[in-house]
Amino acid sequence: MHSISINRAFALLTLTLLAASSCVEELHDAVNTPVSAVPGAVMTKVINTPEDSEEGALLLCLTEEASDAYASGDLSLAAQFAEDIQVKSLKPVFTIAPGKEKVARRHNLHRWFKIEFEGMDKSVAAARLTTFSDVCQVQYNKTVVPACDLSFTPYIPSRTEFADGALPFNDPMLKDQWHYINDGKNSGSNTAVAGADIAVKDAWKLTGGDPRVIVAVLDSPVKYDHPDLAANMWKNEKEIPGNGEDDDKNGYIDDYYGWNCERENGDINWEGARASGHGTHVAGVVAAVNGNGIGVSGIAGGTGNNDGVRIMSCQIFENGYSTNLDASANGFVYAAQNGASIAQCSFGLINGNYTSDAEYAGLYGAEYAGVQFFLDKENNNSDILDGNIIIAAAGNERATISSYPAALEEVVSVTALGPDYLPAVGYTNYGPGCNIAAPGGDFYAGDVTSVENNRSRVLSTFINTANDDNVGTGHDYVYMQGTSMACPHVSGVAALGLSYAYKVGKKFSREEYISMLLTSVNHIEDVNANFKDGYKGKFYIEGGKYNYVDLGAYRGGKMGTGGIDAWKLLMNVEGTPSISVKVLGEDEKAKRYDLTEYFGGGATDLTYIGVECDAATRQALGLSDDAASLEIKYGKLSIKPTKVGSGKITVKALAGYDEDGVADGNTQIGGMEISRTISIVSRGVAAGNGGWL
Amino acid sequence: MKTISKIILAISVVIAAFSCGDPQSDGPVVSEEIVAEWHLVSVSGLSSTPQVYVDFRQDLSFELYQKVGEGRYRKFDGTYAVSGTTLSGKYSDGEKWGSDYVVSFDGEKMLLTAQNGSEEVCTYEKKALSETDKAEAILVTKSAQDGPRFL
Repeated sequence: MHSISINRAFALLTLTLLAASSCVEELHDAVNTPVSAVPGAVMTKVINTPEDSEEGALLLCLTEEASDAYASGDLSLAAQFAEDIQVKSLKPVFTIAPGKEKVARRHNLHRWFKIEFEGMDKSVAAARLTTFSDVCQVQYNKTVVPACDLSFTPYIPSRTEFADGALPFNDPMLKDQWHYINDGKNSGSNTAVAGADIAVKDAWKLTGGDPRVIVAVLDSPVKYDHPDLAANMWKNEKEIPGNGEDDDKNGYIDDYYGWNCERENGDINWEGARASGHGTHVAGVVAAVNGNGIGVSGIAGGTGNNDGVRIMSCQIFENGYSTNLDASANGFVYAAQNGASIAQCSFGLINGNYTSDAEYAGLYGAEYAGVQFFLDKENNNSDILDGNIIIAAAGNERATISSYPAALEEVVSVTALGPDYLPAVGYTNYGPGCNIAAPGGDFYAGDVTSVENNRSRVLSTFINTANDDNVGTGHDYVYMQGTSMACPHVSGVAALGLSYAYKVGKKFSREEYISMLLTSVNHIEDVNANFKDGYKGKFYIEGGKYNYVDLGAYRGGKMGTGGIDAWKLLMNVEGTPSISVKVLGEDEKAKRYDLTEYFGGGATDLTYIGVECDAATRQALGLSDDAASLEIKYGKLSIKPTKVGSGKITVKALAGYDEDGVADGNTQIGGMEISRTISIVSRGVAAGNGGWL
Repeated sequence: MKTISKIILAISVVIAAFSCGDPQSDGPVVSEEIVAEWHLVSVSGLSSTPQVYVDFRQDLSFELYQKVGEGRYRKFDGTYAVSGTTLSGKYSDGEKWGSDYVVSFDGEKMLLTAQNGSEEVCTYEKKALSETDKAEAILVTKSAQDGPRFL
């Protein structure tokens, strides 16, 4: 780690800036210079726009030479900046751990710097900085928001009762966590549907989690001493908290429960007047401790034997309400360098003017660099996978596209369902970029006349210092809603699947696993028949007005591949059966076979982009070169084998949307390409339901 | 060969007592040779044999457990009928078997020869699937057109 050289450089820089203070008077005269009047400005270097960005700060991407010079203690560039701008500080955006330098350079992490200044409009400062040849890009430090309105309802024990032994854990609030086990009544919603949940009850019979799986919660702080979270918190055991030393030499001082990316220290801090509890709520969904006889259950919270997955707190929201790109970017980098295999991201950029991955990468370079660093397979933190996974909230603006970073093709974007398994039309984004749906709660599916009795949002852990004007403070468990709450359901299920993979000794490529995750789903329209064109029973209230929404707008895969199903993922981890197909004569037409077991309940709705078969399989099955001998037709596998034999084919589809944004030259937000490899057995007999006889 | 002929004759005699209608409506005696738990040991033309167990029961119901490929066993059930030497059946989801079969025996082995023109021969031996595997099997309750449904 070059922390020593950077620290020395920072001290020298401070002296330099003091020496440069004589220039301040002249600078003051220039602070209100219009951007257009900045001589020599190269505005093409400014990669985004100033609205919704941090004041008094900018992010800079420097040349290789300049960044290397800075790292070696050469502060001449900083001094040059100080001649034009009243600089408060200039420092690298990212901390690079020892051994990670090479992969960091691959993603240009070493070139990103944050400059803080005063006495000057940020647009003028941006223009001035573009005049330096060592500055390649200037980025406004955009605001990132949690994907949740942050309102909450305190938990009040309900009259819900399950039969003795019907619930797998003794956590008293589990009976009210309809999003895990929905009996059609426990959400308090008149429109709820039994089974409109994530089907985790049966999955818990197979596994409750595994401490080797670490989920980084990039969010507001996780209350690590919450009695329902403490046992499942990740701890950096090599670090001695609070001693001011980087004991484990990972580049971060006192990072014990994670890292405070906003304050750049190890103080995970949920105190403060505007503490939101958002990250603590999210963490509880992923891995609140199961079977401890208190509070709620978590999807991968273990079985009561200290065997839950571990939660790493990457605090990117200081006060819970918003943060900036550099903090979120650092969250990815910390998580990558410290063992997380899943980044749980219930935040996003305000849904707006970006419509493709290329545009996002160009406009949000620092965060994109952090994302790519986390996803770099050299940073893989799992024995099960060959790369890390990012799962992010689609956003809450009722927009017809996913927010970023969720919309990135490599990132799983999660939309929200209510206890009726219908889209939470009051907030969830949908459409291009949205990959999968999960329960996020829907206030309007419950008792809208009584906030305190409304139980149709998601119940999880909370911080008792958070305040809501309507209900005050002092609540350890609350209901909240948002794609923020849907997202950790998918992260939790993904973590549960990895835990099971450890148990049964399976390994996957990241792409295989994401494909399995996105196809371990229920067809939303099968669970609730009201999910159809023309149904007008769904509404939200805004400004006192009821707004009824036609669900037809959400159909056709716009909510993603379907609703996540934990049991199906675990079955996919175990392995999927072959498709038995019938040998056909030359004069017979190809037969079609269902793909539900491979592509989930919505298999017939997916957009398939191809089916591949190697020469050996083609020969073994007696497939001709004619395209009609092997194709996807009407959402089913159409195949005409002429020989008894076996082989494998690979079917590719788009998860979440019918266009591939990346393949289309990055001109639009698209679906994520998924693929499943399917074993085929061709024989003389094939029943329509796959039965052997 | 004599043994096989005797067995086939025995089956024919038993089957002759059956009507050709709904197999569950008659409650007849069924050949003891068929009523057993069978394990698939070979399939003509296939180099590797999937794990298939079928339990033909006295009451003319059957349970089929199969692991074709990866994952746990898939369970199917339904009813069967015997007419002459021909075995036919349907699954409980209403789907007919992929073929009728001619039943024959070779010592302890049961041979099912498909009657759909493929002449596929599946050979079974008496062997039961473990209760654990049965208990963990996934029940397929509806036709593949609508997709298998997990328990």
